[in-house]
Amino acid sequence: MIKRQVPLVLTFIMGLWAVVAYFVPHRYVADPAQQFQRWYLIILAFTTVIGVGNLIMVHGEKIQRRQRGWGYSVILIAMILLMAGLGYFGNVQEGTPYYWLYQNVMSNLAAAMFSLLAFFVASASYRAFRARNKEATLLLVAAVIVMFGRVPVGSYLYRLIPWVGTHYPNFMNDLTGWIMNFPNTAGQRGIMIGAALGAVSMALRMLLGIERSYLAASGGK
Amino acid sequence: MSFLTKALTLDRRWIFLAIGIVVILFLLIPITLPVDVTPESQGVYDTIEALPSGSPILVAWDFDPASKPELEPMALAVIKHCFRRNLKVVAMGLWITGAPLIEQDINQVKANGFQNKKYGEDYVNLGVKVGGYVVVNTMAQSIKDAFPTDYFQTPLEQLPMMQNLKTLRDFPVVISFSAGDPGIKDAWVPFAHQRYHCIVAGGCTAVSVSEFSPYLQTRQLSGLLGGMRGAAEYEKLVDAKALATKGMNAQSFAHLMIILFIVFGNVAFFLTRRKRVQGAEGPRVQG
Repeated sequence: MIKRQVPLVLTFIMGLWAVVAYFVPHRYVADPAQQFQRWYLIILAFTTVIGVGNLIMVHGEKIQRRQRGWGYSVILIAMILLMAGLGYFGNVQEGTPYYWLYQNVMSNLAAAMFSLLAFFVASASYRAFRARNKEATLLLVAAVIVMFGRVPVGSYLYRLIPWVGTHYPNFMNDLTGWIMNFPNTAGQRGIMIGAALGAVSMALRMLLGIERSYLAASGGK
Repeated sequence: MSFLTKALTLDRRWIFLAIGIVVILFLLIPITLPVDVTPESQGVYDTIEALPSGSPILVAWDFDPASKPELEPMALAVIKHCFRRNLKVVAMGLWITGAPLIEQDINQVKANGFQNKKYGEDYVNLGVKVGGYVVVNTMAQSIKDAFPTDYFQTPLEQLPMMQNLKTLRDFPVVISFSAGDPGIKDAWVPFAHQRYHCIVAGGCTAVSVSEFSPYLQTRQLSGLLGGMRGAAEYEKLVDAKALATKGMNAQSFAHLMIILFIVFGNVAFFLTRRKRVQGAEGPRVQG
């Protein structure tokens, strides 16, 4: 019972306090809330340890069992230990081995991985943007207008069109802006409101102990 | 297999190759296309321009190296603007993997015409603290609680600039370069702006522009630099054309290439559909 009830009671008290502290600035409410937030930052640091520990366990097991791709696991664990060691025992500022590895290995690899998205977006656009029906056609037209209008060459080419380009030089920019500021914003606002209502509902369920999935398997029953 | 069917089932590696060639080519060819400044980017510029000389400004590097190509150019342009206006820059971040980027970017701007800027008097680097909106909330009560020392382990009391900057409320403006969460949407707008009444502006990756546009309409964000285009616009505003302006050339023609592929794909789709309707031979191709 203690394993189940104590976490639920703690969640209720701390969660309710955080909500009340948002509206009540009195020091008897706000000061403890501030202290709770300091505790949160400390606990967050410990979750890094758990995360790294879990990573090492999973990949260590992969290496031990010589599963497919175990060589990459060796590199992963070696780099974790190397970067952590260099940062902990050395310095992290410019001119240090840690900084060199960050600047010349991690930074470039991370940027390259994200940049791959550009190629996949191009390929996905080719396959997805087909005018199969009215809705797909609308999506296609809007996408092409925004892609064209959001880059300098779009405005430049538009202004070369005879008469229209000279009499209405900002039409392409304005049309792109209208699509982003009205239909897009309306849709985004709807999504945000829906997500916020869902988050409020989930938070209420967790505070009241109805939702217990955050507890360990045995405590969540 | 007919040409149209081959076109509809084009191996994506040809598309990758075409995009790769276009991007590399137009990074090397020195074309300069004119960039039009949007009201959103002008908003960020006007927000900083409206601050009196010597005002403090909080600048948050809420991104990691993966988003560096899009967000670093705008960070460099904004810091240049801040230094030119003699604003007191307090730099920090919420993303742990972005910590070294802060010092790197400030040093890069300093090396280009601002060697007279002194650490501790004109700018401070607080480093990174993980915790998202909790860090912002903590800073609102006491910056020292969130950042007892700066990035170089110097206690804040020893930094002259931080003597009068005790809480988040001492900053009239917060600029955040945000690659996702934590960032503008879940930390700076709901807390720094809504609760503590700081003016918030910032920049984001191009894919995130649409999700921040509601905040622009309600003036919860006074301005937004959207992706590399926003960075190029800001470079134009501060008259310091650099990486983003160059990158927009490549992006422009990559977009054109994608549009051409889309048109080509649709033409092939319609011709295939017409042939099928007319009873032509050939495999039924799903669009």
